Amino acid sequence: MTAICPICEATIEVTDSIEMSEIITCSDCQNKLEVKNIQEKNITLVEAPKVEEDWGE
Amino acid sequence: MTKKIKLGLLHTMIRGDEKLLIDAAKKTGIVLEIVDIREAVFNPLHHSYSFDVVLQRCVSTVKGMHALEFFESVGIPTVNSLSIARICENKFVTSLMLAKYKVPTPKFFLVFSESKAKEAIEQLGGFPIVIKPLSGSWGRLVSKINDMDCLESILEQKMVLGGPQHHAFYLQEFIEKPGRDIRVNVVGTKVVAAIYRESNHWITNTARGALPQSCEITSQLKDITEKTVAALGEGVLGIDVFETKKGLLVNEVNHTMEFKNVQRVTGVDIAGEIIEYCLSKIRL
Repeated sequence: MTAICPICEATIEVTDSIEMSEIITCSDCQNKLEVKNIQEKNITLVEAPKVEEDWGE
Repeated sequence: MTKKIKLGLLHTMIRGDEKLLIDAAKKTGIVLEIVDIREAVFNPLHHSYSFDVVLQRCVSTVKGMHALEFFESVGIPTVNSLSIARICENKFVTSLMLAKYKVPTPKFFLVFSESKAKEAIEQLGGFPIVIKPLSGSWGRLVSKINDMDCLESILEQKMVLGGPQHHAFYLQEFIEKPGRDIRVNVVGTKVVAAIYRESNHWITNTARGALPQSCEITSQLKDITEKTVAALGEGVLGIDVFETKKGLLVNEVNHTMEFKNVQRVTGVDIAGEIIEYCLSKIRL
């Protein structure tokens, strides 16, 4: 499956096992992206949230 | 017909670690529901959660802790338990528990003023010392303080720029490490894997560039880990251990441990161990 990077508009390959809210990296611009919507083979990506102070283990 | 077990995977984003857990859960045949708690409404009087157990995997500590509070209050077992999460999410509380149960750990104290910090430096053996936020991860906002000038600057910054949480100064003795520390992965009460995190920097989080290498689980490492679990409680824990000339020290205990690098480097199916542990927590 493919999706469009919302930042650089590159076409990215994604696996069939992609999950909602999954974080992936654009193979072109290397930005982190979040899967916002999956409808059949149409995947919407948004820029991933920025790291916040309380993030971690 | 036998009711299928239902596991809720709580998250605020799906990372590599959560993908491994999803795959491991699917192999068991249980019903897995993936819950983005950013979309949740946690009202004990109006909810329809019917999980047998939830696994809390939120990258946001604040959100994850509140999710645990909710699910525990409505009687759904959680991994990790609220009690161990409450200990681990605060470094001072973790240190207090380790000290109380005589688990070797770096010297530490907590103060609320610069003057008291200056008075107590000798309790840590003098400079250099380390200051950390009470709640934090990935080596963020951790500073090595080499002298009094540095101490004054950092405490002023925290007082002026930080919120109330940053006005409680948690200070630790600086431990000279051999270019690495050890991350031990515990599931339940069992040590399942360990890695060295190697770095030329004194901060050895992999998030700060440290490289993971497989580490043998020696009897000393197993012993200090078991003491830590006995002191704090069991769970899915990432325990950070320092090697010193005087022996091993437990630095921190993480309650939402990341493990994809450990799984890759060691070959241990940590995700599978975690799912099995979750199933063991179901009340029959």
